[in-house]
Amino acid sequence: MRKLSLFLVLVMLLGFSAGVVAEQKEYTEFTEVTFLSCWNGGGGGFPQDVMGNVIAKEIAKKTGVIVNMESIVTSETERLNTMFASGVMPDFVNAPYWSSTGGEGFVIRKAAVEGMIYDIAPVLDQYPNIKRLFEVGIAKDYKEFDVFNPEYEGKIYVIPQQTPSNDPADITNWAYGVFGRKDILDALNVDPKTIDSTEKLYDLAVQIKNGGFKDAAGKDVIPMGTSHNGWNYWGFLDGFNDGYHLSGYRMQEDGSIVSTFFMQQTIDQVLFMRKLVSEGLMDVEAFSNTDTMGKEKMAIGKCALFSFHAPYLVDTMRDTLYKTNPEMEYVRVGPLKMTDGNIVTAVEKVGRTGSPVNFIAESSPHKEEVLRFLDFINSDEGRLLARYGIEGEHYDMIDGIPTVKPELREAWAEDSSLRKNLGIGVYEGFIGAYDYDSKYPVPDDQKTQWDKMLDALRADVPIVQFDKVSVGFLERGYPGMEEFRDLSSTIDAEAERRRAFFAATDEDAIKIIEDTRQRYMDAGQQGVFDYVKEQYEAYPNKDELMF
Amino acid sequence: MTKALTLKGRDYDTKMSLGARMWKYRAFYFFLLPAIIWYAIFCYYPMYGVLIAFKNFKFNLGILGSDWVGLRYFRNFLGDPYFWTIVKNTLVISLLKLFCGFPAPIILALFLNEVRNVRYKKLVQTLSYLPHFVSWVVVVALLTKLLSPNNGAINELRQAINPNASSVFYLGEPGWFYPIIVLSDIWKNVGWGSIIYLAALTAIDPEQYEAAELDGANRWQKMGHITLPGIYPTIGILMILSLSGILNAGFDQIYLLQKPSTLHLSEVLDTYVLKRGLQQGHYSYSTAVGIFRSVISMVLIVTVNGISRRTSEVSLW
Repeated sequence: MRKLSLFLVLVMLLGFSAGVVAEQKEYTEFTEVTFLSCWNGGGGGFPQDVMGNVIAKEIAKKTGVIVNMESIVTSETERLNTMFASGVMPDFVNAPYWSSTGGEGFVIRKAAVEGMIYDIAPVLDQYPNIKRLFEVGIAKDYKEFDVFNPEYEGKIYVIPQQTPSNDPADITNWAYGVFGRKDILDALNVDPKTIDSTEKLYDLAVQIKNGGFKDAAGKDVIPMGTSHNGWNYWGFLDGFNDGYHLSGYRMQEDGSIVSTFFMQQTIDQVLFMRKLVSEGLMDVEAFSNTDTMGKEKMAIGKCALFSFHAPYLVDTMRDTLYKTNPEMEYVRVGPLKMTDGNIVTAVEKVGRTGSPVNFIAESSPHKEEVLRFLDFINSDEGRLLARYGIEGEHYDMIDGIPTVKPELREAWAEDSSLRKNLGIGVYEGFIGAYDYDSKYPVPDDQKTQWDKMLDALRADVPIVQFDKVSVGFLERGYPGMEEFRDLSSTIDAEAERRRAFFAATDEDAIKIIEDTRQRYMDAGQQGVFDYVKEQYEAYPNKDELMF
Repeated sequence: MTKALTLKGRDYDTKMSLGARMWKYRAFYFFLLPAIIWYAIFCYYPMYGVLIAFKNFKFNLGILGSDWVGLRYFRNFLGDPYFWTIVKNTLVISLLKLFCGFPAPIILALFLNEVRNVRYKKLVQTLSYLPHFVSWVVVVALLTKLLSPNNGAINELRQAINPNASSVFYLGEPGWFYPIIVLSDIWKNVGWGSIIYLAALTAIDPEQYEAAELDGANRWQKMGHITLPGIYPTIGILMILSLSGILNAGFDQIYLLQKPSTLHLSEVLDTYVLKRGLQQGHYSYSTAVGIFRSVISMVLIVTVNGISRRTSEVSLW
């Protein structure tokens, strides 16, 4: 009898909730809002029909909003600058906000302070799903110093996106590293896991160079290479890193604080890369590869060792090299060990530091519509729709887990653009505090071979997490910062570093770095270091800080 | 005193006011209108933007509303650690292009003028004009492929001749940077540049050649004593204009051909303005750099024009 009562109550509750759902407003009139994905090449992730795809129509029914998407094929900072300077803005924008002191984040902060961005603070309580994005998934220092930058004086301009939930399972492991062509490693009888130091990596490159190996086009392979614009050559240099850190600052033996650019490890890294370049071990075109050039090299297995992140490797290779030459599969080399003996892997805080953000133009006539859309897409219903599509049409709920229909899963594994053109996965970019992986873990039997390959590549480099405040944030209040930035803004340390890779001699390379250091010092760098030291010493709880 | 002017049989009364004359000949002034509108909209109206070089630009205040900061950005540029490198690079590349690239269309025009087979002449002209219509993006993509150290055609050819030859990263070798910049510029522009000289050549009186032939002059002598002097004024004018652009080394080509290893040679004023101005958002600073360049160019063109007027009677004004 008791069980029967419980059953009846449940039936009533279900009936009630179904009634609520049935009564949900379905819009018949729609407002088009314009959106800019301010990510270089971000349009590659768009469906062919950005306003008429299946998911867009479903969102329109639920919110009355149709998002007209546009992307860029130029530098993010450049586009942000031209957009704000011209005053011609879409209704809302998604852009990188790695910090509020440099690059894109600096431009966004300037625009916010100068009144170009809409302050959502007064209306935030009306949008609980957006409000949650400020409570979950962002690191405390990022929240305090960047998202709620003190210069904003309590106003809220940026909405963090693509952040994880507080469950570590939801943190994306990009699994950066060096990946080697398995057929070449086998031919050399090298176990890739044993390549755990810079010296061994160098020796392997020399062996490859002398081995006469060929790419899929029958031409000589290059021992080491990257994708576009040198991304990510750092993978070959990670063995020089001195352990897990959250900032670019280090405390020296004498107690002074400097940034890593001023330390010996920078010289060591530059000289090592110069050695690789000058001995023909590194693809000399790597630093100026276009995206097309990089992918062409990947598609034919041109470089025996590539460095970037694992999802990029799998996504690019699955439709190219792995179809034509499956024997040329790439496997993880290493991971390398740093100078303190720890392996090179991703270091994360609790919550993300630096993230993509959405912001709404102050000039937009559709602020309310944008917020309604963002609030919906961040609801449980919106999250399911964004990642899995429409229940019954694209997926079924089986044991509480959204399960993609088998026939669709097979078709999508074969051609990933099919899923994208339906709009599935596209709107995940508007979501924060991801809880997909912890809430709906994909059962092994539903994983594609590419999912499993990615899992294997990630397993070697588990994320290391710290609940600390980065020392890097201590520089924020430096009173001379604006002047320092003004004077040092024309110094391009990365360009100088790359120039040093191609220097005629080691001495020339060192001189390039030392000259660049001097330029920073002339601009007032020492003042920044001294200020960080002062703040570090005055910090009430040093255990909370991490270099 | 009134004075009647006669021009091709028509009388002009200077007593007429300017306005009346303009109204009388309004049809001719109407032809000028499109050019005036074009200049007003695209050249003069945007000029107020140079004010940004003297202001601390704020997005919301715009150019006119932002605070004045005097010559701060000019001082910053003159004190920039890269100042001399950038100015030197700009001058070196421009002068190389001038000395190597300026005579090339003249030589081509002179040679084309000597070709008697009309079909062959037209074919050569067409082929030499074509590169002008290909954008630098395409040209650099082609160069990148041809000169690539990884299976580029040139390196393949070298290795086919000598299997022991190692690949050369032409686009990344500082020693190859200037030759590639200058030669690709000549290849792209020589045909187009020769058009104006060919037009000037048609103005030379054919009787001069006939008279020279009667005097027994050979083709080289005719070229040296009639053809070349006949286009001296054109050469002079174009030289003056070229010198005024001495601080304009050619943005598209150089930006696209920049590599980390050649940056110390290839960073010029134009690329610097793009990187600091548009990419990093230092609009005031980069406008100051642009004004610096424009002022130097103006001084150069006035000076060179003056010298030319006094020495050769060829001048723009």
